[in-house]
Amino acid sequence: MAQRDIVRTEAVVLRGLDYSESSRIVTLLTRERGKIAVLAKGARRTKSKFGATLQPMAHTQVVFYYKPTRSLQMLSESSHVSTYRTLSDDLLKITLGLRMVELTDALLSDENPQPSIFELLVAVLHRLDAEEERPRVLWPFFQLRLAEALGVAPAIRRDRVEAIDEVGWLSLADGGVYPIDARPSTARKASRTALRAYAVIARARLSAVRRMHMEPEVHRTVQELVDAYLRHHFDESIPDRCRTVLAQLRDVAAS
Amino acid sequence: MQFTSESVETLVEELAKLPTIGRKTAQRLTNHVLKMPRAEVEALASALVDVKDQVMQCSTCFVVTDQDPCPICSSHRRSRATICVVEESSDLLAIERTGDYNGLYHVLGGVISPLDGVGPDDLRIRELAQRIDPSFPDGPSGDGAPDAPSSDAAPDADASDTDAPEGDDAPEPVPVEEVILAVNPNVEGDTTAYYIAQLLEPFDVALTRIARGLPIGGDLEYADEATLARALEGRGAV
Repeated sequence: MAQRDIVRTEAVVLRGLDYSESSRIVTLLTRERGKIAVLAKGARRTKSKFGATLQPMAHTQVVFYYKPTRSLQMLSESSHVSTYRTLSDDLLKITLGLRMVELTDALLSDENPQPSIFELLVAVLHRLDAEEERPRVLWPFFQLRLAEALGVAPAIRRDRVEAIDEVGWLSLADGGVYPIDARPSTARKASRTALRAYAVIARARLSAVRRMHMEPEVHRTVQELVDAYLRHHFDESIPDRCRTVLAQLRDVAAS
Repeated sequence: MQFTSESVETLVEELAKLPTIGRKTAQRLTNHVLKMPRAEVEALASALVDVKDQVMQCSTCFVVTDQDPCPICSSHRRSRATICVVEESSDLLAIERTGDYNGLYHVLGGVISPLDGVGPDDLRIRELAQRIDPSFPDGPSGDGAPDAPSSDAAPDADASDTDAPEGDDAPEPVPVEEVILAVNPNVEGDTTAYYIAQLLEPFDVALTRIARGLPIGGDLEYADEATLARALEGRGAV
């Protein structure tokens, strides 16, 4: 007979999918069990005991019955560990947070516990919630930290950063920056300002990166560099749906 | 296991294509259909075909209806200064059942869901802006919205009777004064609400959202923090 455990663990909700009349299948990133899918029976009912705890990005404490023989576990309880103050009140923050959970969902395999990634996601989502001035910089920071946790940390060397003159290269293979006369085999050219900002984001702590100020043009270039680096390493796993929708959302914000 | 009859197998396969219907349930439904009187089966088949042939979307509010414009949009008794924005036709029916709303509607045909790849251009958001200001530019909005009715029920007969136009005259156009966002209280609903709020910001129209918080009969003790916080935010004078 298959063993059945009762698991109580912290989790972040990555995504949800309506199932049957009133239930939801919810993908969670848990601290103890990694990414796991659970069935939340009756979660869509107005008086559901799960309330708002199964919304994407929610930081919750869950209890579920774990049976190794099934791919969908049965959720028993869910309650907030902490709630966000402004994350759900701001279109930009919502979209950035959704990109983070989408990327996490796409790059992590099921039931492979990685507490460092869980901590990263929780920390960045709470920083995003609290951030008032520069929430955008948290997105490339999260991308690079997630890549690092998955084994492809950018190889930033101070001497190479200092050696860049007007323009230089980002190596897509090792994520390092190089002077113009030391072009790596697969590389993207960028300005010194953008490459230095990229290097800072790749190395700085969360508390420091949020103080970074970048001109819009520099930010755009840095974002392109980070996107290119991740695409080089994870290619088909990088989700595209969110990005397409966010481009439409940006149109109205810019108009 | 396949059935010995090809027509039975076909029916099972077709039923199993419906949402929430698996093959087991499809087999049970098929067995039930086999036992039904012929007249009832014909009525069912006819209802299925009619819903595709006769039901359309109102060209104004995009609710599923038998006539265009729908009874609500063509009613003289309705306040034309208020538009209630809902996700689906079934949400419109839920609000109509309250009997407390006498304005018009706008059915978006879904909700912005970045994780599912559903954006504003897939919904009837631009059409909403054009109802407020006809000069609002056309765009790709709504191209992905369903042209045919979904599984939502058609407006009920009672509503149609109440809102039947009193004459051939179309109601006079009236400037929209308030847009009520009646989208679900979840991340997708929030995203849609904030997007519409930004889109409609330049217009002289009051934008409101239905209250979020505790359900009647709910227990404060068991409410989660996020729901309770919303309930406190939306508190009103007694």
